[in-house]
Amino acid sequence: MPAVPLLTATIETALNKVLSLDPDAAPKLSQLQGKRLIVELDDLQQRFALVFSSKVDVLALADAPGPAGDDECIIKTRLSVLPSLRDTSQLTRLIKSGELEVNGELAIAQAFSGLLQSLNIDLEEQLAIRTNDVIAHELFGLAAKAQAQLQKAGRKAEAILGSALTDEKQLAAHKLAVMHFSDQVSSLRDDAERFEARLERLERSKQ
Amino acid sequence: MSEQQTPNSEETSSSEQSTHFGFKTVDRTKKASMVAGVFDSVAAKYDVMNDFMSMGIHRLWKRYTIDCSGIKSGHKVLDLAGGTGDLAAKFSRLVGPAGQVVLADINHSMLSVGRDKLRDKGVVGNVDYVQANAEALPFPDNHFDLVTMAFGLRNVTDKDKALASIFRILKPGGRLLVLEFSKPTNEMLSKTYDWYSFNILPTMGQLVANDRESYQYLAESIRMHPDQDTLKSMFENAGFEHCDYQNLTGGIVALHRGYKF
Repeated sequence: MPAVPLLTATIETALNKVLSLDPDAAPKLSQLQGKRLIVELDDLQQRFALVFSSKVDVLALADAPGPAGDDECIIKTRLSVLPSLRDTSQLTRLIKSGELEVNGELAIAQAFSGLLQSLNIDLEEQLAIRTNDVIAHELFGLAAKAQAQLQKAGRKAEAILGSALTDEKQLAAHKLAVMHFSDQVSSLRDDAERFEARLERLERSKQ
Repeated sequence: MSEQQTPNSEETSSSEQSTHFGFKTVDRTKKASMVAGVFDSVAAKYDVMNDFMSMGIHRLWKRYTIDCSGIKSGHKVLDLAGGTGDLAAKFSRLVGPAGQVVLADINHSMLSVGRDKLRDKGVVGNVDYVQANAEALPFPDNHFDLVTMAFGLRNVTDKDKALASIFRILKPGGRLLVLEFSKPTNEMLSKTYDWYSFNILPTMGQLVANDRESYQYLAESIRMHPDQDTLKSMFENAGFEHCDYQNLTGGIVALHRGYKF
């Protein structure tokens, strides 16, 4: 079975489904209409193109894309760098370090990143469409309660484990002991620096 | 399977006036109308049967074809024997409003189903529909950037003539992609595939589309289609350059690619 087309089909279906769940996504997507974002992943030796129209088409390009044309942005990077691209303030550093190569209209990549980050999907509303308001509200209420209980249980377990490790088994240092130790290290470092300064002064006075 | 003729017997037929229709030998002038009869019969259930027969894998083969198309905004594309418009729908979005997609099929029933399907999906504006014979395409010379033909070439009576006709209408630098059933490269797969084709496929046709004969023809026409290397030679004879092919799913299907320079 062709694996790469299966992957792009899955990404394309998921992406368009997610975009369809946010009513505000369509006008933002229309700003990208007719543009292409090409991502070349060196480590996978694959090139993916996202072509924007009323939806997003995802292609695994068989040929090298050539120089970026109008309305095109070509990003060359590694898979591990992709998550860093969400933070646009990191782009300059990534380009300077050679981890990212950008050709064409960078605004396309930024607009797409912005579109994904601004997605606001009301899951309760989506569930209500398939069931009804009461069921959706009750289920989400239960889920919120379960989440709060889990968080509470997690915090309690964390405290018990911490106490067991520091007080009962004494496998780890207590928070106060760590702070005291840090203070002692700082004090020692200050003493050493003072001693070094005095030593230098003495050596200079002998000369 | 012993009754099978050798692939590409169309070209080696003893009579210039005869060709094959599945495993039958028929008058060349009659093949087009016989193929039309098959597709008139299956048009309404074509998509359902494709999904059912291939377990949806035909969609991945078509995606791979699009991945290899090099298509860009503003390009002119001919989806030949485009049937129910699976490729044309995607091409329409990829070429954008500045581009043009022509969905062509010799069969009026298939073209009608394709047109209705695309319009229902909202694919309008840059798609034209043309009933055309691949052997004599009604388009100007050097007109298209890309011609695709998915699961259509094996039904054409004179394949060499069709390839020459496609070559004429392609722009210099344009490419032809032919996605077609081919010959499995693995002996075991080949035997399993033959058993599936001649036993399961016609039964599926009977149950789903109430048409056993058309799906018997499908299985037979696949066996009569030229193998990968023969089709590649036919591309080269028609004038295409940099020709190659990619086997998909063990050679059950192959994507042939050729360029006009």
